[in-house]
Amino acid sequence: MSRVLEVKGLESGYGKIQVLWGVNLALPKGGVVAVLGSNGAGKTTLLKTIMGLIRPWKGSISLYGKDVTRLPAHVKVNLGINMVPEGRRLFPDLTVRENLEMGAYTKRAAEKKDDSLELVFNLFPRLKERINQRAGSLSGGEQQMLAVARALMTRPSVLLLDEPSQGLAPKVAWELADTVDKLRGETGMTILLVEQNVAIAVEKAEYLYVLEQGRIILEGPKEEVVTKKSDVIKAYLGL
Amino acid sequence: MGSVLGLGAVGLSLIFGVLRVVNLAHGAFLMLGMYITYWLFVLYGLNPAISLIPSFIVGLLIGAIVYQTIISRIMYGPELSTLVAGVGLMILLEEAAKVMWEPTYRGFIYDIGTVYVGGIGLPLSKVASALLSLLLVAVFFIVLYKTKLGTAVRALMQDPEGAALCGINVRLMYALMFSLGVSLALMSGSLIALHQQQGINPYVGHSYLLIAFVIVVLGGLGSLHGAYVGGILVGVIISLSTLVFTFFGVPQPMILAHFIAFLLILIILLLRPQGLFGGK
Repeated sequence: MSRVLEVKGLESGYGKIQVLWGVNLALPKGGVVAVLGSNGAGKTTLLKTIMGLIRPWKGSISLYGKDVTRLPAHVKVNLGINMVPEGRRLFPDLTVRENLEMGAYTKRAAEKKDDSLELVFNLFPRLKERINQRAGSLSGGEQQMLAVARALMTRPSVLLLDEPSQGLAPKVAWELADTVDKLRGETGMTILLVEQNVAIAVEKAEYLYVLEQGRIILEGPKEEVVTKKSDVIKAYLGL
Repeated sequence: MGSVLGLGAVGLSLIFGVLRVVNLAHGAFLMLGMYITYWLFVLYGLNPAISLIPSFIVGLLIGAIVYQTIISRIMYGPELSTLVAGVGLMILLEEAAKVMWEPTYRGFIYDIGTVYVGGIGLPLSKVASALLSLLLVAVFFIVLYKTKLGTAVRALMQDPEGAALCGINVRLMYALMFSLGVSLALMSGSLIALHQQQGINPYVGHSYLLIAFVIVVLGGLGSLHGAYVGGILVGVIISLSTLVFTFFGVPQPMILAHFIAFLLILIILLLRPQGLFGGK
């Protein structure tokens, strides 16, 4: 199984506060991997560091076998990795169309813009209806759709999703989670899903990592983690 | 006059809106633009309108150097450090100007005729400077709202992290927008020089810095079109009240006009603290 993304001994944090303490993680091609963990475990920091929004202190990150540890986010985006950030990070005063166009900002993405637009409108027909509306005026679910759509416009082959279900009604959260299946089915995308909603993560992913206080304390194929180590899951995730 | 002030305020607002840096050296940049136009006119007889081009280029260069050497190193630090750096830069530029060009009042008259509108004489040079600044601001807003680069700038103003995730080189964009903001200040200074028949001196930036800040706050912090409209408003208030005070023979009409302008702004801000075009 070829590894698309490989993280080794990753340490990072904010200022003098260390958050990650030697995280190892790998994404197999076309797989869906989830990172579980309670609030403050370092999930968002992990994704931001992988993306290059936070500089890693130690360790290495490689994408398709190439070392990308020190590259900033905008360069990584061009290499085919992107993230749907926590809190969506949309441009509220731009329209839906402008938000999507910004996703196709790089030359590489701009060449495939029309194709990408078709893809995201197929995935989220609701966005097409609201194309000229300000992003800030959308509902929470629609905003999350737009955040996913904007990331897709950059044509990633690896997508990191940071808490896509956050702040959404359960029904909407599941609807969005279903796009994970569609994405890997239609585009063969490799997905790293970070979730506090354990039910969604366990349903969608085939391999699980459990992050606690900046360390991976447990990992394995989903069935193994859920059945054999159920006491750990209970202890850390409150299932 | 208002339109020219608005141009400078748009530059200040651009730097604040994009980089969240309050540029206290803005007035000093404006002063440099005035001197560029003054010297090119006095020494080479260059048309002040054409001196906008060297002002633009010098502004971009100085802006890039200042961004790279100072701003990029401290913009993520405590707010106070950018303020102190701004004051330091202002003093540096002003003292350099004083050493090079002496602390005397300078100015020139660029007379290309006068038009009379309703019995009031308007020097054509002032009309031309207003139209030029209007043109520059129009070009700026067309780029901002109608091009991909402009949309990227607006995106960056709203969410830098989201912009980085779209593949936008945030630091490069900061450097560009800081430089452009400085350029707008210099060009505004170049056009103000036409209104300053004897007032160009190394410290002339102070009063314009104050006016620019008031305009930016009046228009709504970080609102670019607010800055321009605010500029026109302040310019009109100052011009009109100067005219009225002169007509009634009040001593020092200019100073009183500034007082009236600040008083009105104070009242507007009491009624609308977020500024005319500010959100929330």
